Amino acid sequence: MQWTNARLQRFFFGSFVLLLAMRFYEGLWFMQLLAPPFHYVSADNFYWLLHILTLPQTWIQSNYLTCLAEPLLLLIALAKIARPQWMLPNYVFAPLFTLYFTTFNSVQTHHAHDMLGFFFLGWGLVFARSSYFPFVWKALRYYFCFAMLSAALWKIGRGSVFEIEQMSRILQQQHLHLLQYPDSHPLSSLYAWLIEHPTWSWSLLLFGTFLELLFVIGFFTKRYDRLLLVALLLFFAGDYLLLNLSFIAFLIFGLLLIPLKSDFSSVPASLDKKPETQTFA
Amino acid sequence: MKTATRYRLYVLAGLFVLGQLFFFYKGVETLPFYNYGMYSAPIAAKDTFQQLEIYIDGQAWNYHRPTALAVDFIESQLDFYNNLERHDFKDPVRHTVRRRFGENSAWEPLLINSPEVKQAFPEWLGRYLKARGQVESGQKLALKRCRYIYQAGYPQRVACTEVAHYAVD
Repeated sequence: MQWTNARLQRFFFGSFVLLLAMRFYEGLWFMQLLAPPFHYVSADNFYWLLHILTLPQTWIQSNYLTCLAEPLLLLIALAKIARPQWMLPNYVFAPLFTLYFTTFNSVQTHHAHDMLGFFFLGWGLVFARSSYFPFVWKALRYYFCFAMLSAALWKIGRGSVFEIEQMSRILQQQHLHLLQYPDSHPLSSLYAWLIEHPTWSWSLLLFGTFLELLFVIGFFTKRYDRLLLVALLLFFAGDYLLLNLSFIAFLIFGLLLIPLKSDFSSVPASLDKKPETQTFA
Repeated sequence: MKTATRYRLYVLAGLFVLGQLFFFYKGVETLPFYNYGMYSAPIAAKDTFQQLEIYIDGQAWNYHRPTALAVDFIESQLDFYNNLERHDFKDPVRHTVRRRFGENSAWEPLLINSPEVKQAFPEWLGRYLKARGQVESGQKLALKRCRYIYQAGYPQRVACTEVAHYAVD
Protein backbone atom coordinates (compact mmCIF):
# COMPACT_ATOMS: atom_id res chain seq x y z
CA MET A 1 0.00 0.00 0.00
CA GLN A 2 1.29 3.45 -0.92
CA TRP A 3 1.06 6.30 1.54
CA THR A 4 -0.37 9.66 0.56
CA ASN A 5 1.51 12.84 1.24
CA ALA A 6 -1.03 13.79 3.92
CA ARG A 7 -0.70 10.46 5.70
CA LEU A 8 3.07 10.70 5.60
CA GLN A 9 3.02 14.15 7.22
CA ARG A 10 0.44 13.14 9.81
CA PHE A 11 2.57 10.16 10.79
CA PHE A 12 5.73 12.25 11.00
CA PHE A 13 4.20 14.95 13.18
CA GLY A 14 2.17 12.44 15.19
CA SER A 15 5.41 10.61 16.01
CA PHE A 16 6.91 13.91 17.01
CA VAL A 17 4.06 14.52 19.47
CA LEU A 18 4.80 11.10 21.02
CA LEU A 19 8.49 11.98 21.24
CA LEU A 20 7.67 15.22 23.05
CA ALA A 21 5.40 13.30 25.45
CA MET A 22 8.23 10.84 26.22
CA ARG A 23 10.68 13.66 26.77
CA PHE A 24 8.24 15.38 29.14
CA TYR A 25 7.87 12.17 31.13
CA GLU A 26 11.65 11.89 31.36
CA GLY A 27 12.03 15.51 32.52
CA LEU A 28 13.85 16.61 29.39
CA TRP A 29 11.75 19.58 28.30
CA PHE A 30 13.81 22.77 28.41
CA MET A 31 11.73 24.22 31.24
CA GLN A 32 12.34 21.01 33.25
CA LEU A 33 16.12 21.14 32.75
CA LEU A 34 16.40 24.32 34.88
CA ALA A 35 19.26 25.86 32.87
CA PRO A 36 22.11 23.32 33.08
CA PRO A 37 25.50 25.07 33.39
CA PHE A 38 27.42 23.17 30.70
CA HIS A 39 27.56 23.64 26.98
CA TYR A 40 29.57 21.55 24.56
CA VAL A 41 30.45 22.58 21.02
CA SER A 42 32.89 19.74 20.22
CA ALA A 43 34.60 20.38 16.85
CA ASP A 44 31.28 20.94 15.05
CA ASN A 45 31.46 24.20 13.10
CA PHE A 46 27.68 24.58 13.10
CA TYR A 47 27.60 24.42 16.90
CA TRP A 48 30.42 26.96 17.01
CA LEU A 49 28.43 29.35 14.84
CA LEU A 50 25.29 28.96 16.96
CA HIS A 51 27.24 29.54 20.18
CA ILE A 52 29.06 32.57 18.79
CA LEU A 53 25.61 33.95 17.98
CA THR A 54 24.71 32.95 21.61
CA LEU A 55 21.48 31.29 20.43
CA PRO A 56 21.66 28.04 22.50
CA GLN A 57 22.89 29.87 25.62
CA THR A 58 20.12 32.48 25.35
CA TRP A 59 17.42 29.88 24.76
CA ILE A 60 18.37 27.57 27.63
CA GLN A 61 19.09 30.31 30.17
CA SER A 62 15.95 32.40 29.59
CA ASN A 63 12.95 31.50 31.74
CA TYR A 64 10.51 32.74 29.12
CA LEU A 65 12.16 31.13 26.09
CA THR A 66 12.58 27.73 27.77
CA CYS A 67 8.84 27.74 28.54
CA LEU A 68 8.11 28.33 24.86
CA ALA A 69 10.35 25.63 23.35
CA GLU A 70 8.38 22.39 23.36
CA PRO A 71 4.89 23.98 23.53
CA LEU A 72 5.68 25.82 20.29
CA LEU A 73 6.94 22.65 18.60
CA LEU A 74 3.89 20.80 19.91
CA LEU A 75 1.57 23.44 18.50
CA ILE A 76 3.22 23.16 15.09
CA ALA A 77 2.91 19.37 15.14
CA LEU A 78 -0.76 19.48 16.15
CA ALA A 79 -1.48 22.04 13.43
CA LYS A 80 0.11 19.72 10.87
CA ILE A 81 -1.90 16.73 12.09
CA ALA A 82 -5.10 18.77 11.75
CA ARG A 83 -4.22 20.34 8.40
CA PRO A 84 -1.44 18.42 6.66
CA GLN A 85 -1.79 20.50 3.48
CA TRP A 86 -0.86 23.70 5.38
CA MET A 87 2.81 24.33 4.62
CA LEU A 88 3.71 27.24 6.90
CA PRO A 89 4.31 24.94 9.92
CA ASN A 90 6.80 22.91 7.84
CA TYR A 91 8.84 26.05 7.12
CA VAL A 92 8.90 26.96 10.82
CA PHE A 93 9.46 23.43 12.13
CA ALA A 94 12.69 22.63 10.25
CA PRO A 95 14.83 25.58 11.47
CA LEU A 96 13.21 25.63 14.92
CA PHE A 97 13.81 21.93 15.48
CA THR A 98 17.39 22.31 14.22
CA LEU A 99 18.02 24.94 16.88
CA TYR A 100 16.12 22.86 19.45
CA PHE A 101 18.05 19.64 19.07
CA THR A 102 21.45 21.35 18.75
CA THR A 103 20.72 23.33 21.91
CA PHE A 104 19.73 20.15 23.72
CA ASN A 105 22.81 18.28 22.50
CA SER A 106 25.00 21.16 23.64
CA VAL A 107 23.64 21.27 27.20
CA GLN A 108 23.51 17.47 27.34
CA THR A 109 27.28 17.63 26.56
CA HIS A 110 26.88 14.83 24.07
CA HIS A 111 26.05 15.31 20.39
CA ALA A 112 23.66 12.37 20.20
CA HIS A 113 22.33 11.08 16.87
CA ASP A 114 18.95 9.88 18.09
CA MET A 115 16.97 12.92 16.87
CA LEU A 116 18.68 13.16 13.47
CA GLY A 117 15.69 11.51 11.78
CA PHE A 118 13.42 14.39 12.74
CA PHE A 119 16.13 16.83 11.65
CA PHE A 120 16.70 15.36 8.17
CA LEU A 121 13.08 14.45 7.45
CA GLY A 122 11.90 17.77 8.87
CA TRP A 123 13.99 19.59 6.25
CA GLY A 124 12.78 17.12 3.60
CA LEU A 125 9.17 18.01 4.41
CA VAL A 126 9.89 21.67 3.66
CA PHE A 127 9.49 20.47 0.04
CA ALA A 128 6.41 18.37 0.81
CA ARG A 129 4.21 20.06 -1.78
CA SER A 130 6.89 20.96 -4.25
CA SER A 131 7.71 19.14 -7.48
CA TYR A 132 11.17 18.57 -5.92
CA PHE A 133 9.71 16.38 -3.17
CA PRO A 134 10.07 12.94 -4.83
CA PHE A 135 13.72 13.71 -5.55
CA VAL A 136 14.39 15.03 -2.05
CA TRP A 137 12.66 12.05 -0.41
CA LYS A 138 14.64 9.61 -2.58
CA ALA A 139 17.88 11.40 -1.72
CA LEU A 140 17.01 11.14 1.99
CA ARG A 141 16.31 7.42 1.56
CA TYR A 142 19.76 6.94 0.05
CA TYR A 143 21.26 8.98 2.88
CA PHE A 144 19.53 6.78 5.46
CA CYS A 145 20.80 3.61 3.75
CA PHE A 146 24.27 5.18 3.77
CA ALA A 147 24.00 6.00 7.49
CA MET A 148 23.10 2.42 8.42
CA LEU A 149 25.60 0.83 6.04
CA SER A 150 28.41 3.15 7.12
CA ALA A 151 27.83 2.14 10.76
CA ALA A 152 28.71 -1.43 9.72
CA LEU A 153 31.65 -0.29 7.59
CA TRP A 154 33.09 1.69 10.54
CA LYS A 155 33.05 -1.47 12.65
CA ILE A 156 34.62 -3.54 9.88
CA GLY A 157 37.15 -0.87 8.88
CA ARG A 158 38.35 -0.34 12.45
CA GLY A 159 38.42 -4.07 13.08
CA SER A 160 36.26 -4.01 16.20
CA VAL A 161 33.74 -6.45 14.74
CA PHE A 162 36.49 -9.07 14.56
CA GLU A 163 37.37 -8.71 18.27
CA ILE A 164 35.63 -11.50 20.16
CA GLU A 165 35.80 -9.53 23.44
CA GLN A 166 34.44 -6.28 21.94
CA MET A 167 30.76 -6.65 22.85
CA SER A 168 31.58 -7.96 26.31
CA ARG A 169 33.77 -4.89 26.95
CA ILE A 170 31.08 -2.57 25.60
CA LEU A 171 28.61 -4.13 28.05
CA GLN A 172 31.07 -3.77 30.94
CA GLN A 173 31.44 -0.05 30.27
CA GLN A 174 27.80 0.60 29.39
CA HIS A 175 26.28 -1.17 32.40
CA LEU A 176 28.84 -0.25 35.03
CA HIS A 177 26.27 1.74 37.00
CA LEU A 178 23.21 -0.38 36.27
CA LEU A 179 24.85 -3.65 37.36
CA GLN A 180 25.48 -2.22 40.81
CA TYR A 181 21.72 -2.50 41.29
CA PRO A 182 20.89 -5.89 39.71
CA ASP A 183 17.35 -5.86 41.08
CA SER A 184 16.49 -2.57 39.37
CA HIS A 185 16.55 -3.96 35.80
CA PRO A 186 14.91 -7.17 34.55
CA LEU A 187 17.80 -7.97 32.19
CA SER A 188 20.67 -7.45 34.67
CA SER A 189 21.45 -11.16 34.92
CA LEU A 190 21.48 -11.45 31.11
CA TYR A 191 24.00 -8.58 30.89
CA ALA A 192 26.22 -10.20 33.51
CA TRP A 193 25.99 -13.55 31.68
CA LEU A 194 26.91 -11.91 28.34
CA ILE A 195 29.87 -10.17 29.98
CA GLU A 196 31.06 -13.54 31.24
CA HIS A 197 30.46 -15.26 27.87
CA PRO A 198 32.17 -13.07 25.24
CA THR A 199 31.58 -15.47 22.36
CA TRP A 200 27.81 -15.22 22.80
CA SER A 201 27.86 -11.45 23.12
CA TRP A 202 30.17 -11.28 20.07
CA SER A 203 27.62 -13.26 18.06
CA LEU A 204 25.05 -10.54 18.87
CA LEU A 205 27.49 -7.89 17.66
CA LEU A 206 27.97 -9.85 14.44
CA PHE A 207 24.21 -10.12 13.98
CA GLY A 208 23.79 -6.37 14.57
CA THR A 209 26.51 -5.62 12.02
CA PHE A 210 24.81 -7.98 9.57
CA LEU A 211 21.53 -6.08 10.01
CA GLU A 212 23.36 -2.83 9.23
CA LEU A 213 25.07 -4.38 6.21
CA LEU A 214 21.68 -5.34 4.78
CA PHE A 215 21.13 -1.68 3.96
CA VAL A 216 23.49 -2.01 1.00
CA ILE A 217 20.47 -3.57 -0.75
CA GLY A 218 18.72 -0.19 -0.52
CA PHE A 219 21.18 1.30 -3.01
CA PHE A 220 20.13 -1.12 -5.76
CA THR A 221 16.43 -1.77 -5.28
CA LYS A 222 13.38 -0.72 -3.30
CA ARG A 223 11.90 -4.21 -3.53
CA TYR A 224 13.25 -5.22 -0.12
CA ASP A 225 12.41 -2.03 1.76
CA ARG A 226 10.05 -3.96 4.05
CA LEU A 227 12.90 -6.27 4.97
CA LEU A 228 15.04 -3.20 5.71
CA LEU A 229 12.26 -1.80 7.88
CA VAL A 230 12.26 -5.05 9.88
CA ALA A 231 16.07 -4.90 10.10
CA LEU A 232 15.84 -1.33 11.38
CA LEU A 233 13.33 -2.27 14.08
CA LEU A 234 15.32 -5.36 15.09
CA PHE A 235 18.57 -3.43 15.30
CA PHE A 236 17.25 -0.68 17.55
CA ALA A 237 15.17 -3.08 19.65
CA GLY A 238 18.45 -4.92 20.26
CA ASP A 239 20.18 -1.63 21.02
CA TYR A 240 17.55 -0.86 23.63
CA LEU A 241 17.40 -4.32 25.19
CA LEU A 242 21.15 -4.96 25.25
CA LEU A 243 22.67 -1.52 25.75
CA ASN A 244 19.74 0.35 27.29
CA LEU A 245 20.12 2.96 24.55
CA SER A 246 16.91 4.69 23.51
CA PHE A 247 17.07 5.37 19.77
CA ILE A 248 13.31 5.38 19.41
CA ALA A 249 13.39 8.81 17.74
CA PHE A 250 15.83 7.48 15.13
CA LEU A 251 13.16 5.03 13.92
CA ILE A 252 11.39 7.89 12.12
CA PHE A 253 13.94 7.31 9.34
CA GLY A 254 11.87 4.18 8.65
CA LEU A 255 9.31 6.44 6.92
CA LEU A 256 11.74 6.61 4.01
CA LEU A 257 11.24 2.90 3.40
CA ILE A 258 7.48 3.22 2.91
CA PRO A 259 6.34 3.65 -0.71
CA LEU A 260 4.64 6.97 -1.42
CA LYS A 261 2.08 7.92 -4.01
CA SER A 262 4.24 10.87 -4.91
CA ASP A 263 7.09 8.53 -5.84
CA PHE A 264 6.87 8.41 -9.63
CA SER A 265 9.15 5.46 -9.96
CA SER A 266 6.45 3.28 -8.45
CA VAL A 267 3.48 4.40 -10.59
CA PRO A 268 2.78 3.70 -14.28
CA ALA A 269 4.94 5.71 -16.69
CA SER A 270 1.86 7.35 -18.18
CA LEU A 271 1.22 9.15 -14.89
CA ASP A 272 4.74 10.50 -14.81
CA LYS A 273 3.78 13.32 -17.19
CA LYS A 274 0.85 14.55 -15.12
CA PRO A 275 1.29 17.36 -12.57
CA GLU A 276 2.68 16.01 -9.31
CA THR A 277 -0.06 17.60 -7.25
CA GLN A 278 -2.56 15.10 -8.64
CA THR A 279 -0.77 12.30 -6.90
CA PHE A 280 -1.02 13.93 -3.47
CA ALA A 281 -4.01 13.40 -1.26
CA MET B 1 10.42 18.51 -13.25
CA LYS B 2 12.49 20.44 -15.79
CA THR B 3 15.83 19.03 -16.89
CA ALA B 4 17.67 22.14 -15.62
CA THR B 5 16.06 21.80 -12.19
CA ARG B 6 16.85 18.10 -12.07
CA TYR B 7 20.45 18.90 -13.01
CA ARG B 8 20.72 21.49 -10.18
CA LEU B 9 19.35 19.00 -7.68
CA TYR B 10 21.89 16.39 -8.76
CA VAL B 11 24.66 18.97 -8.36
CA LEU B 12 23.42 19.78 -4.83
CA ALA B 13 23.27 16.08 -3.95
CA GLY B 14 26.80 15.65 -5.36
CA LEU B 15 28.08 18.56 -3.23
CA PHE B 16 26.52 16.96 -0.16
CA VAL B 17 28.32 13.70 -0.92
CA LEU B 18 31.61 15.61 -1.29
CA GLY B 19 31.01 17.38 2.03
CA GLN B 20 30.24 14.05 3.69
CA LEU B 21 33.45 12.53 2.30
CA PHE B 22 35.49 15.52 3.51
CA PHE B 23 34.23 15.28 7.09
CA PHE B 24 34.56 11.50 6.98
CA TYR B 25 38.21 12.01 6.03
CA LYS B 26 38.69 14.65 8.76
CA GLY B 27 37.11 12.31 11.32
CA VAL B 28 34.89 15.04 12.80
CA GLU B 29 31.24 15.98 12.45
CA THR B 30 29.72 19.24 11.32
CA LEU B 31 25.98 19.41 10.96
CA PRO B 32 24.64 18.07 8.57
CA PHE B 33 27.64 15.82 7.92
CA TYR B 34 27.63 12.99 10.45
CA ASN B 35 29.81 9.94 11.02
CA TYR B 36 28.00 6.87 12.33
CA GLY B 37 30.96 5.18 14.00
CA MET B 38 29.45 4.66 17.46
CA TYR B 39 31.05 1.68 19.27
CA SER B 40 33.27 0.99 16.26
CA ALA B 41 36.61 1.65 18.00
CA PRO B 42 38.18 -1.52 19.41
CA ILE B 43 38.03 -1.43 23.21
CA ALA B 44 41.16 -2.48 25.08
CA ALA B 45 40.90 -4.85 28.04
CA LYS B 46 40.75 -3.01 31.38
CA ASP B 47 41.30 -4.20 34.92
CA THR B 48 39.49 -1.32 36.58
CA PHE B 49 36.61 0.94 35.55
CA GLN B 50 35.74 4.30 36.97
CA GLN B 51 32.83 6.70 36.91
CA LEU B 52 31.42 9.68 38.76
CA GLU B 53 28.47 8.85 41.00
CA ILE B 54 25.84 10.80 42.89
CA TYR B 55 25.50 10.25 46.63
CA ILE B 56 22.54 11.57 48.60
CA ASP B 57 23.12 11.73 52.37
CA GLY B 58 25.94 9.22 52.01
CA GLN B 59 23.91 6.73 49.96
CA ALA B 60 24.73 6.00 46.31
CA TRP B 61 21.78 7.08 44.12
CA ASN B 62 20.42 4.70 41.50
CA TYR B 63 19.19 6.76 38.56
CA HIS B 64 18.20 3.83 36.32
CA ARG B 65 14.59 3.74 35.29
CA PRO B 66 12.66 1.84 32.58
CA THR B 67 13.42 4.25 29.71
CA ALA B 68 16.87 5.38 28.86
CA LEU B 69 16.48 9.02 27.88
CA ALA B 70 17.06 10.70 31.24
CA VAL B 71 19.76 8.18 32.14
CA ASP B 72 21.72 9.22 29.04
CA PHE B 73 21.31 12.86 30.03
CA ILE B 74 22.48 12.38 33.61
CA GLU B 75 25.38 10.12 32.63
CA SER B 76 26.53 12.63 30.02
CA GLN B 77 26.48 15.41 32.63
CA LEU B 78 28.47 13.32 35.11
CA ASP B 79 31.01 12.20 32.49
CA PHE B 80 31.50 15.81 31.40
CA TYR B 81 32.03 17.05 34.97
CA ASN B 82 34.40 14.15 35.62
CA ASN B 83 36.42 15.05 32.53
CA LEU B 84 36.52 18.78 33.40
CA GLU B 85 37.55 17.97 36.98
CA ARG B 86 40.47 15.92 35.70
CA HIS B 87 41.52 18.92 33.58
CA ASP B 88 41.34 21.22 36.61
CA PHE B 89 38.17 22.81 35.11
CA LYS B 90 40.05 24.13 32.08
CA ASP B 91 37.84 23.13 29.16
CA PRO B 92 39.89 21.01 26.69
CA VAL B 93 37.93 22.59 23.80
CA ARG B 94 39.99 25.77 24.40
CA HIS B 95 42.93 24.19 22.56
CA THR B 96 40.82 23.86 19.39
CA VAL B 97 39.45 27.39 19.81
CA ARG B 98 42.97 28.86 20.18
CA ARG B 99 44.23 26.86 17.21
CA ARG B 100 41.45 28.30 15.06
CA PHE B 101 41.10 31.85 16.43
CA GLY B 102 44.38 32.49 18.28
CA GLU B 103 44.97 33.45 21.92
CA ASN B 104 42.50 35.75 23.73
CA SER B 105 39.83 35.52 21.08
CA ALA B 106 36.62 37.37 21.98
CA TRP B 107 34.69 34.25 20.97
CA GLU B 108 36.50 31.90 23.35
CA PRO B 109 34.25 32.59 26.39
CA LEU B 110 31.22 31.77 24.22
CA LEU B 111 32.62 28.40 23.18
CA ILE B 112 34.24 26.97 26.31
CA ASN B 113 33.00 26.33 29.83
CA SER B 114 34.39 28.69 32.45
CA PRO B 115 35.93 27.33 35.70
CA GLU B 116 32.78 28.60 37.48
CA VAL B 117 30.98 25.42 36.43
CA LYS B 118 32.91 23.67 39.21
CA GLN B 119 30.46 25.19 41.72
CA ALA B 120 27.56 25.75 39.36
CA PHE B 121 27.15 22.08 38.45
CA PRO B 122 26.55 20.62 41.95
CA GLU B 123 24.17 23.53 42.64
CA TRP B 124 22.25 22.88 39.42
CA LEU B 125 22.20 19.12 40.09
CA GLY B 126 20.63 19.79 43.50
CA ARG B 127 17.93 21.98 41.91
CA TYR B 128 17.29 19.47 39.11
CA LEU B 129 17.01 16.45 41.41
CA LYS B 130 14.81 18.38 43.82
CA ALA B 131 12.47 19.34 40.97
CA ARG B 132 12.36 15.65 39.95
CA GLY B 133 11.45 14.67 43.51
CA GLN B 134 14.71 12.82 44.18
CA VAL B 135 16.12 15.03 46.97
CA GLU B 136 14.74 17.40 49.59
CA SER B 137 15.99 20.64 51.08
CA GLY B 138 18.83 20.17 53.54
CA GLN B 139 19.98 16.84 52.13
CA LYS B 140 23.66 16.52 51.30
CA LEU B 141 24.57 15.81 47.72
CA ALA B 142 28.04 14.49 46.93
CA LEU B 143 29.84 13.55 43.75
CA LYS B 144 32.30 10.70 44.11
CA ARG B 145 34.68 9.17 41.63
CA CYS B 146 34.52 5.41 42.15
CA ARG B 147 36.69 2.58 40.85
CA TYR B 148 35.41 -0.91 40.13
CA ILE B 149 36.64 -4.31 39.07
CA TYR B 150 34.41 -6.93 37.44
CA GLN B 151 33.86 -10.28 39.15
CA ALA B 152 31.51 -12.92 37.72
CA GLY B 153 29.93 -10.32 35.42
CA TYR B 154 29.16 -7.79 38.15
CA PRO B 155 31.16 -4.67 39.16
CA GLN B 156 32.68 -4.69 42.64
CA ARG B 157 33.54 -1.31 44.19
CA VAL B 158 37.22 -0.85 45.03
CA ALA B 159 37.37 2.75 46.26
CA CYS B 160 35.60 6.12 46.02
CA THR B 161 36.94 9.67 46.27
CA GLU B 162 34.67 12.67 46.87
CA VAL B 163 35.19 15.41 44.29
CA ALA B 164 32.36 17.79 45.25
CA HIS B 165 29.52 18.20 47.72
CA TYR B 166 26.54 20.51 48.12
CA ALA B 167 23.74 21.00 50.62
CA VAL B 168 20.43 21.20 48.73
CA ASP B 169 18.62 24.54 49.23
